[in-house]
Amino acid sequence: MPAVTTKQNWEPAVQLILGHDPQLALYGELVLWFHKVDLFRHEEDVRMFQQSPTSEDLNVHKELILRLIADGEHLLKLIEQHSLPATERVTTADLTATLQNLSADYRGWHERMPADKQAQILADVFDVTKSSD
Amino acid sequence: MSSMSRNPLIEAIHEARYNIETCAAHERALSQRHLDGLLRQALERVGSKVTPEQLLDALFDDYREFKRGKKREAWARLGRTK
Repeated sequence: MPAVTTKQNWEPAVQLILGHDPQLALYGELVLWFHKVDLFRHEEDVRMFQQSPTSEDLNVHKELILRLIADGEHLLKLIEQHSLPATERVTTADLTATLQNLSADYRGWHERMPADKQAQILADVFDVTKSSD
Repeated sequence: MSSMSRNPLIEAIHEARYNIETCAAHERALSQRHLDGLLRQALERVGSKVTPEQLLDALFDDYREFKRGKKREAWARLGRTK
């Protein structure tokens, strides 16, 4: 009777945790994440740009953008472990860029720079004064 | 268009930032590199010690107006084609 190999012993756990094709599964999650970002941007356009956002809009916006950032950072860690299928067009760098973009928007909407610091930077870098909102 | 974005470099930074949001997923890294280059250019031009992130944060209010203008144009175009 053939001995059970280490790999066979691990197989049920490997299947359950990583799936049949970890790279492909991860790519599927990445594509889904990008779709979530697109949906978020669409709702953001309607609630935050087409009208003046209410305090409740701002609360939901903050919750969603934080979740997208957390999910994206988690995906980034998993991709660092398993990598993505080399044949796909979307890369880790595209994920990182989207995360940077979401983080900048999070800071802009929810962690605003003090007005005096903002004015100082704009005056120093562009020699412009910010008009009142 | 906001008053500040009449500055060509600020306008270019806003365009590049907007492009990251609106381009296809597989073009985001390229768009980010373009934005990074513009931010570097703005800071190096005056020898500023401000980080690119801080510069983006300082520009956010103006960017929001820029984006609102872009969206208004897009919605108007959509309205005309309906």
